[in-house]
Amino acid sequence: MRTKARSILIGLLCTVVVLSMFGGITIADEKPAKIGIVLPFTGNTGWVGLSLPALKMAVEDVNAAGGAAGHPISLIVTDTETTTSGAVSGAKKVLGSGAIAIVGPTSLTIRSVMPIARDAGVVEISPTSGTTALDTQGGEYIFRTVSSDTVMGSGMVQKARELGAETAALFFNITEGAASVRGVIRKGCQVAGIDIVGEVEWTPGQASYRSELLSALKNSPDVVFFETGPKDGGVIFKQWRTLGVAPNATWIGTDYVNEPLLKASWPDSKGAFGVLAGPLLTDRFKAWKDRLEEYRGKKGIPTFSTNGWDAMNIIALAIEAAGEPTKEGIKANVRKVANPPGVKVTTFAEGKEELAKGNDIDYIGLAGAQDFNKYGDVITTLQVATFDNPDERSRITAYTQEDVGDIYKGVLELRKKEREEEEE
Amino acid sequence: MIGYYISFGLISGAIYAVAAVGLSLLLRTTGFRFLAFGDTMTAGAFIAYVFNAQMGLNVYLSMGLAAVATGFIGILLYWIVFKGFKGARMATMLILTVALAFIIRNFLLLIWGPYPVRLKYATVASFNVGPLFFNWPQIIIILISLFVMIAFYIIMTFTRVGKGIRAVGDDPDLAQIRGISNWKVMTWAWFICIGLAGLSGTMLGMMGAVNPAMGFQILLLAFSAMILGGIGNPYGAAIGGFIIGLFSELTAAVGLAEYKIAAAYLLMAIVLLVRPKGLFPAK
Repeated sequence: MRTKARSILIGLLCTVVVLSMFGGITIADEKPAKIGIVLPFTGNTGWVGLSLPALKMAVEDVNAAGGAAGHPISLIVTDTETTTSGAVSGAKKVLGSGAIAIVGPTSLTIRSVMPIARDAGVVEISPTSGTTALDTQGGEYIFRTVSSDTVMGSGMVQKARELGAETAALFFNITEGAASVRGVIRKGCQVAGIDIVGEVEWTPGQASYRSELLSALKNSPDVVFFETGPKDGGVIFKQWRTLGVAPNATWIGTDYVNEPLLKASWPDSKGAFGVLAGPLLTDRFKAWKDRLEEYRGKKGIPTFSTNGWDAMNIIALAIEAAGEPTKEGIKANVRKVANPPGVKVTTFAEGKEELAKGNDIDYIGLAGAQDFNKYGDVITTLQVATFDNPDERSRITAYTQEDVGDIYKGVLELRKKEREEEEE
Repeated sequence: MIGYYISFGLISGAIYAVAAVGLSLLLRTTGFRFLAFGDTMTAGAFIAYVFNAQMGLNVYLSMGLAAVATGFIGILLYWIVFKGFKGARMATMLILTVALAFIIRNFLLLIWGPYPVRLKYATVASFNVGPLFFNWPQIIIILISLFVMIAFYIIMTFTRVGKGIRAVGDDPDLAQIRGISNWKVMTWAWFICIGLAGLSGTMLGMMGAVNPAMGFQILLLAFSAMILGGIGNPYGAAIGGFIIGLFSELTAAVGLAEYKIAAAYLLMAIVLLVRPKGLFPAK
């Protein structure tokens, strides 16, 4: 009996030894570099969370290439619920769980999360926050892989100019994000010589927007610049059609022009345009798009997917360049891997290879060159999309910096003038 | 142009009025504020969506069926949840109804997801009716609302059920002594009130789209209508609904569209300062 027990014990010990030998390798590999995802998956901008598969796909690519500095990346995902309190508690939660970098959140909540990231010494890269409030903030801990709303708003005015618009109405909700774009469009219209003949700010979550629509559109503008989530958008477009006011106006929206809005508002929103972050239609993008569609099992590329992909690659490359997964290492290397000079790379694997050779690298993102300025901002390309079928948003063209350049510069000049006047 | 804004106020008011009547009657019979009312409105709208968009039934028939189905949900709520809490403290009921609101909303989110869905009926243009401006679905919604008020008055005044509800609402113990079955009356009250929630929720859904948060977003306005009209008086609540609808839309007419919801609450606050029990308090 004792011999049998001893045999079992020895057997068990051998098993443990063998497992721990293999485990030795695995343990070294399984110390993950944790990255916090702080994005909305519910609430008014819950559609932003649809970009998560792109981030996950980037992580899988990094891990398939041997991980960042030999460490696999794991994501800690939290839902901001499109609220400030949700974003703050989400950021605290991911930092408390050991995240060494944060991806997110959106314009609506980023300014609440910024001090938390800064105090924790953690780099935060937002793939979605275009707010102009960040145009002169950030650059040490806070970065963006999406253009400022100054670029997007200029693109929206460019679209109106292309359509030959002479008059416009502004129809935006009362949020920081909307106010940011609205300010750009006001100035953009001034630059492009488009008269603003109606403007209403509205409170989200109402049963009726008829009064607001009538007030904004009663002077029959050629175009309506707008921003609305799907919940209000369904109501707004239906009530616009039933009202019959400015029936021929063309609606030009922001990055809120997406599939959820389409589903909530079709067919009343037929013909509406959206000008939003989006890459040029290169072979690289087309191949990536096919991969992502297969990965998520659905057609279409959710808004901010390319920006999220870029954010994740930059963080992974910064870890690789640092040689260890630490928040200090990421901070020290974010600019080095994203900005020139260096060998241009388009994937984590390429970057890893060049870094191993001792070369500097310059990551070229899917959403455009990811060259951070002193405020941590980039200028990416824009896509123009439209609602022309009930199934998906159709991309019709892209705008580069040259296309929107004069409006963009004009807006910046007006802003500078305004600041100078204020200072005086 | 002012006629247009009045029309918008009448349409919104018609919806608020139906909701406020249900809410008010429920307060009168149960004695507590049912904070899950907005979410039962949403549930009604989603049920209408199933009948209309998924089963292909006419939108008005779907509205009626949804009201009845939501009424039965009201009965279930009474029998499964609230019957056991008779006489519970106000704070307990407050927490219970808030919890129920979250449960219903998350249940709807689980089934239909966070994005809006649309009832299937044609979007038709509006036309002038004198100085007013409506389309046919809006006129039908206002007529349904008025019909509901009249039917409600008839039920409450002339039927045994209505008299029983009023008696239990006034003094449940006395009603029991007089041989009125409390549970039967309460079953009817829950059926009617939550049925009205389903009806108003579907009306709300017809105005644009149906989404899991829509009823909750309107709940405070329905409460305001109830308080403005007079706590415990369903007829006052109905009038309160129209006043809230008209006042908020007319605020937009003077160029203050962004403050129209705040204006509705401000009106309620002013009225309560002058008449603390509302415009038409229950006797």
